[in-house]
Amino acid sequence: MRVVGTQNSAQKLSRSKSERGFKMRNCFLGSFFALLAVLALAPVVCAETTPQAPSPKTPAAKAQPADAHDISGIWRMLGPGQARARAATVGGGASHPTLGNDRPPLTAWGQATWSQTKPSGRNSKLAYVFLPDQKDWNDPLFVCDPAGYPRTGGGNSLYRFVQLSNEVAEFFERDHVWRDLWTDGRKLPGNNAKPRWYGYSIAHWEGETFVVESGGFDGRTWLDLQGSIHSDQMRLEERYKILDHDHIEFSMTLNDPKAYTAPWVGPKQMMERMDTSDGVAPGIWGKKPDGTAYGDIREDYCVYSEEHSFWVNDNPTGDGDNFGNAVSGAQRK
Amino acid sequence: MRIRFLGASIIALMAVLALSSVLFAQTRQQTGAQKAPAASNKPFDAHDLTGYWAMTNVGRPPGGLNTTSSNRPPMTDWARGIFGKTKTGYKELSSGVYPQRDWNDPAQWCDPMGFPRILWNPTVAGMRFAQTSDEVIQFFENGRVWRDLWTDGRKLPTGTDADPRWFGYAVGKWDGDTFVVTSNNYIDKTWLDQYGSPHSDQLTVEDRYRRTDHDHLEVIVNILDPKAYAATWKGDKRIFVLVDKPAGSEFNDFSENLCVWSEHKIQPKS
Repeated sequence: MRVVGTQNSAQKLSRSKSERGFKMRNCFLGSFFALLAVLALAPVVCAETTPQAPSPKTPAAKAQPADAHDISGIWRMLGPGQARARAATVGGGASHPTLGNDRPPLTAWGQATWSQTKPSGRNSKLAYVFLPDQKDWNDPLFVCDPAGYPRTGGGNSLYRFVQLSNEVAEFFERDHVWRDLWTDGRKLPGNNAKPRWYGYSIAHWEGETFVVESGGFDGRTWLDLQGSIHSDQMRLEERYKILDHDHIEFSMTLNDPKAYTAPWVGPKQMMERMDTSDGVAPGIWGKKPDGTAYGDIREDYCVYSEEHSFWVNDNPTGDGDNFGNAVSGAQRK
Repeated sequence: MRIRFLGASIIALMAVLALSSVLFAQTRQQTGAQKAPAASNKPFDAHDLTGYWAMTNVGRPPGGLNTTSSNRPPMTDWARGIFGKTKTGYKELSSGVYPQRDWNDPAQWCDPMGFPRILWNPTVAGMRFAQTSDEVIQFFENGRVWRDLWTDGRKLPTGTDADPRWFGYAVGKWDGDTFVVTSNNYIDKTWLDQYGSPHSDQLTVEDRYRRTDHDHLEVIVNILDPKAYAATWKGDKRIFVLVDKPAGSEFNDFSENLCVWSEHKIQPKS
């Protein structure tokens, strides 16, 4: 596997403030390549032999009481089976698929669509193929197309929820986009609705669980780094069960009869509350009068001009590549 | 972009034309000033900006510019050096008119628009405000992005610790009935408008919002950037109108208006 550009990008980080835009992009790609390195160096990770992640144990609740119907705040999604964060948030690298590894069998349509994927993420069960040369990969994120949902929330991304009178607004660090989770009683649109990268969503409370239903998705996005596909018939059900003030139990179920022969039921995963994103430089907003941090999440954009220069070469004119070959980004695909 | 086959060339041309129609949409819409709106007699809270607001062309001249105003102050030498390299297809305020193949507007390859350009590019699109106890959230239909306008007493980051952002860092406060937003720490790669007006990392934007009646909002965007301009670039007064739902809405919400690179495949140019 050829990994290019990281040294040059790292050198740029130490330069002037005006060049620190590279830092955000590099943060995203850095985490991505760290993930690739882990996957490449690790023994073959056979999903078939990986048992279903156990339900996370309920962590010790903090002293603050939880409002059973309030999920406001900044939250970090932990990996399946994790009850505490093992590392700082690293952005949208999607180190693990939100829906887990127990993907149901594909339909014929799903199989044909999946066979066109050439992912960078190697997972023996979820990936159709692993091609070692990055020029062969066709992950739409490498040209900074919208990640869409649920991929934008994959891995150990951050979620910020703000409860408004008629909805819960969900904000993502990746690409600085948001979702409206409408709680005002509207119904999901029918099949003729214009497909959206982030779908249409409605939500309601079932006891202490916030339930989000989504549909109307654009079929072009991937669900994960491994290239799991979906169709425009995908429906999602997300369940956020409030455990205590600082913890939510999350699970997601995907229904897509055009692509899969059965529902894809994701594992239960823990979400933990954060005062502020660990991707925001500490102390830049000062402290509240009570000494706590002002909450904020970072921008984590995929920027095509930077991505292009990373994949092709360090010269944005696109003449040549990092391998000394004349090649353009369009030809790379 | 090197495209070898006729078919691919046609597809690419169609993509460029499609994108250019989007980029030019604002120009078409801003020809012809609209009449001043009739004042609404409905009761309203001057300190509540909540709702969907659509930009109008009220009070602006025919062919009004898609920037904060036509009164751009003189540029510094530093800014002239940047501006001289910009290439667009517009006469007004631009450094020259170039054929489309030479345009180097970063919006063509879907780099983030940033603020304040998101207000008027790629189309005249709406914005929405939602208010909470610690902030006013400003949503934009363009790009499906938002800004946090913090009202919880925090101060804007100073010094060099804050990573620059495409949409900056912003705080807001009420000055009488005007909501005044101050923002800084912007990434200096964005253009302020489609004419290529540059800015530096020293950019500070002051946007002022005043609800004049239930249905109307005055907006002024002032640009302060001593590294790029010899004086404050004072913005025109723009009128937004309150709407129950955004135009073209399918779900009584904002449609997605995202730039998708693979639909156009325009490569960056320096």
